[in-house]
Amino acid sequence: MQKLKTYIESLDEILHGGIPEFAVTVITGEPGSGKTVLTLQTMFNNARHGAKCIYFTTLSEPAPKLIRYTQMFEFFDEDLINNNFKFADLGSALREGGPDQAMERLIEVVEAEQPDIVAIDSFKAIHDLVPDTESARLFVYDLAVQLSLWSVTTFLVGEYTPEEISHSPEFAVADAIINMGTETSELASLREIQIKKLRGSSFNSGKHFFEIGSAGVRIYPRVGTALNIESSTSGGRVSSGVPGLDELLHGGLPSQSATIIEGGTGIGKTLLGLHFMARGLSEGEKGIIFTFEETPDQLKAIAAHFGLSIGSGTDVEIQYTAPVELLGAKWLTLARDRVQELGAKRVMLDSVSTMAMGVTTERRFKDLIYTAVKMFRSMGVTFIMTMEAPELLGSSMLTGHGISSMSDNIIMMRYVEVESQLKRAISILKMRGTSHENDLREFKITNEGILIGEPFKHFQGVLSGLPTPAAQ
Amino acid sequence: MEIKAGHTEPPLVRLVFSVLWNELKETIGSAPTATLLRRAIIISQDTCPVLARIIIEKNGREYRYEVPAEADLDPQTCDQIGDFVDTVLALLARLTGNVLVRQLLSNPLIRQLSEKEQ
Repeated sequence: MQKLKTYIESLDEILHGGIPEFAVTVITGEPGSGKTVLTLQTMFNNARHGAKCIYFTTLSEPAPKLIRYTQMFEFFDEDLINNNFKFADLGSALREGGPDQAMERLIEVVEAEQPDIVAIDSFKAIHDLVPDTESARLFVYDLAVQLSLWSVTTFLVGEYTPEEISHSPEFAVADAIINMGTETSELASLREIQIKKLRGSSFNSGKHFFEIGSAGVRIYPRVGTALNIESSTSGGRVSSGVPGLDELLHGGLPSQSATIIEGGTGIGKTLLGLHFMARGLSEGEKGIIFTFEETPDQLKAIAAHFGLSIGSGTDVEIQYTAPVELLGAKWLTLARDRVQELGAKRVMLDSVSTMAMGVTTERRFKDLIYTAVKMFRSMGVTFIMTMEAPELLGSSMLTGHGISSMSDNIIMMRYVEVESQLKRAISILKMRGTSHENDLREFKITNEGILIGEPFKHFQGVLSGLPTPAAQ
Repeated sequence: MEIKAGHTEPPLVRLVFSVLWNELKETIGSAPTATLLRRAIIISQDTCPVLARIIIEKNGREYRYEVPAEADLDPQTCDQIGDFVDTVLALLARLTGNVLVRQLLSNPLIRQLSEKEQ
């Protein structure tokens, strides 16, 4: 079965390729939910690809206003009007002769123009003029037959209550149902879209967030749903950018792996991440730093202070998101798009602890990290995440938020008190499927960045944070 | 019944239309049948003008058709009606796949008129 693309990227992903050709799709939602914008955007996108589209208005939004507002969107193209895209009125026929006359007018136009796509907005306005349920069923059935047998893909747009959705014949006849609405989260109002039915095709179920901007509708697929990325594996190792650490890692981090760098505040997690990114740049690998803490300027200043080059912004891109503004699905989609556009091979997330503040539940946070790990791996990216340890000294607890199992590698950085001095220790706690050194090494932060030293050979209980001299 | 090119065997148009209508109506219902045949007529009427005289209309809640008697008197119709059948089959294939096409081709008259059989 062929599918009609909406050319709204993430919507086509959710629909697993688009809407079945010649299908009748009901687009429903509350007033202002974006039904008309989504429909117009889909039609203009298709008109641009050569499809002939007719947008019938009825007795909802007056056509002059619709035409006026549509021009504010970037998808509007005046050259398409009256060529591949036409507005047509059904309201007059409805006023004069009711639904039957509107049907006659519709069929007359369809037979004359032979469009590929038709929208009726609002179809609910026609429905409301049909006298009884029996007549409504016949009317909707005949309409669906007429349009699908003229090879027309149809969108019926309307505001229906949940009760109407369960009883109205258009929902039984429809091949696809797309529901648009809003969800209130504290003071914020988030737009959401849900595919409720798609005959003859699989789709990503559940609610997906979306926004409406000058480009039209932008959808962010629900976290946890498969993002459409081709998988690739290359194997090999990538340098961490810290020579002594590469020794502990037996040559570097496995390519396309996910690594958590965990440690107390100020211990050097971000700096280690900057080493990793700078090393990538020196090897011609582009990278992106997704930061929820330091701003791009602050990160660049830190890197510059330690003589680490992270480029002018074109080679290592820094994307800052305030955790209070985080929308997991949106972040994930934008991260994927930026990595794809830049061709990034290294990604740093600083830090997952701060990111977690912006996610409403621990479950959602785990889903977000799990999906990000999977996504970056399939994109051929080596991914590191910094994570703050809850304790300053020692390590009675392993990585917080229950995400350690999602990472392939864990690098642990700890403060250690030795002879009244605060020292720093680093060790490799985990490397999935590969060997590594088990040494607990001292490291220092110098003007050149992180310098890995010798193991704490003369002490025991280093991981407790308060080591004691080892017995001779 | 054997149909030979160039040899009109009245009432051919009415017979063909009746076969198509009844075969399709039995499987897909009157409304889709009416729409499909109307679409095929519109596509084919330039090459087979007699088709334009066929009336397909809604009659209450049902659909009906009427093939005027003079439609079968057109000497060119016999050659052209095969093109119309092919148009119907092509539309069916495009809209529903090959199931209904095979079903129609199991009718000897449709099979003989269709190029697909050749």
